[in-house]
Amino acid sequence: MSKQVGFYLDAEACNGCSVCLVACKDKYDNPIGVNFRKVIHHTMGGWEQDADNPGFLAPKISSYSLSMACNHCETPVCLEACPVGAISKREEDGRVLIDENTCVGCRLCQCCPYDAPQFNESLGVMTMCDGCVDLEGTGEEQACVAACPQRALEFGDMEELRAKHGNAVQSVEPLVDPQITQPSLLVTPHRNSKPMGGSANEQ
Amino acid sequence: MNSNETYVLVGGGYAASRAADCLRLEGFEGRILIISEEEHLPYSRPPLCKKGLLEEIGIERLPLRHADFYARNNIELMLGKPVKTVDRTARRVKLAGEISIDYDKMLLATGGRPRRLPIPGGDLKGVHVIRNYEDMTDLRSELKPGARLVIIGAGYIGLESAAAATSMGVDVTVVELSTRLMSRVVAPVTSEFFARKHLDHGVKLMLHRTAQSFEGKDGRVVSVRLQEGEKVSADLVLVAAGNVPEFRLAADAGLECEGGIVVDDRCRTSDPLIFAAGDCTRHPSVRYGRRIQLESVDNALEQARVAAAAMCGRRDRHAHVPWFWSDQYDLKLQVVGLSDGFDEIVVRGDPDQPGFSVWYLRGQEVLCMETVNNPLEFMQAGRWIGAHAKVDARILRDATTHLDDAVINKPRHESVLARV
Repeated sequence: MSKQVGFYLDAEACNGCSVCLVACKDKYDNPIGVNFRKVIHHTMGGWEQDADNPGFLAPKISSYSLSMACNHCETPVCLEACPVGAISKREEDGRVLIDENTCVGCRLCQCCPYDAPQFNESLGVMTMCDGCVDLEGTGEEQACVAACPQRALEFGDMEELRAKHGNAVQSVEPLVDPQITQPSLLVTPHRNSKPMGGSANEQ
Repeated sequence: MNSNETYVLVGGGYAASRAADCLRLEGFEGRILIISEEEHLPYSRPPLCKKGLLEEIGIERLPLRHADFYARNNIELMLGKPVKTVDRTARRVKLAGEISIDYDKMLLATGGRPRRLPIPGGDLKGVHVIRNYEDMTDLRSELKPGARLVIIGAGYIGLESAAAATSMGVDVTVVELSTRLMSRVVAPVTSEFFARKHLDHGVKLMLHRTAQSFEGKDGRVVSVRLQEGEKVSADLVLVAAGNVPEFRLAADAGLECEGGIVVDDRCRTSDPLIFAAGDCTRHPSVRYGRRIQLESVDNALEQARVAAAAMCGRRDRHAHVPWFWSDQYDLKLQVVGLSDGFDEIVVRGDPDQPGFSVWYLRGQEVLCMETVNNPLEFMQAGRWIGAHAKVDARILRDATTHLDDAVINKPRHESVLARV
């Protein structure tokens, strides 16, 4: 298999502060509403019978955050949906890139289950995380990765990330079934989250 | 805004899905309900006659928007529920199973259905059409290497299916009424280019022929009889003879229809509370000054946007330059604009090679352009058509020139051109 880059997120470490989002937005000078990176706050649980106090209900709730951008999927649905061929998957590293010069702004790539392609109204085209392709070869970290105060994000070769984070999975709630697009994503699940699909190392 | 109102969107395609999206973008806070007779979330149809024939594509790869989008935007979906009647006086739609729903405003986005040929044998086993996901899976289950597939119609769907089928080893014959491929939408030079490609891939083309009947044995199609007297053996038939707008619901409700639901340039029907968008409509084109019917993804999306604005009381007009595309083999045909009224055709580049383009001019104004595997010129043409740019045909014809040098009048929207 050729090289594939992607993101790793430590959901145990992520506290949902959204500095990644702001750093990305600042770098790309994106307008209001256009966010290449998003932070999902997922909450779950509810009132449950308290085992220690029969007859009483206790709030068994928890929440965690997931920082998400383009997952540079192995089988991206955005690419297939694009009627003008403006989206491509780069041979050498598997990045999924939008060519803004040939995009007609039809927004059909919003079929992405991760909501990665973002319509920039003033440009009239779709825009998306390119994994800070401009930093290639400089040794610098991606804007979101560099900004994370928790060091919860990493970007790099998926094989290396998989080797480094053995317990990471490809998807957790509330993300979609990873079989749909084969995202280049690794998540160390939050202790309360339910993983979806198999462990990334089982494939 | 109007938070107590219910807007019902009838249909499960591009127009309904996009209209729901645009209603929220317009700031509508009331109830949005999409009612579709199909069981699936609104999904992408172009793969049905391309990749979907080659390999198994699960429906979960095709939604236009995923379930999360509808949930996030509080858009309700009633799937697998055909609308039976519309009672305009009571402002109520009735569905199967005695369900009725009251609406404040409604969008009809009922799309179209494949044209069935009025010839004997159409109901034989092995005779297919493609419009929805199930049509695709039915056809795919029968496509086997060596099978003889006869496709009736050399339009986009017929030829895209031919390209997919032949590449998997199916023996494909295309029967076409006209003397050339895609005659309704492209210039002869482009028809010839695609004819050569299909012949190179082993597709047999029978042009200027009319199917007379499908002949069967034990209830299954075995051949297609042509009016010209020939008989073509067939294990399978795909009828790809165009679409018929689906407007029965509107006509039954007494809305003005004329081969489609008649709407104005804001997608309003003859009932001020009912709007329509997509393949099912006939609309006046601001740009072309007459009533047209377009069957395209682009038109469905654009009309949905305009209709959503109108439903929210905002004035927006359907005036944009239409565009179309078709994927056959590794060729992407792109068309922008409508060619009606042209007085000159200019071919730029070698019409034997992908990358050439065909320009339709009236006076010197660019009306329409079609090209193969040349997205940058397609984009430029779209901007020029939108800006009523005029070009020098001599410069345009010479592919060694820079395309920008062909413009005579600098279009008013300088910034639009600057992006190339």
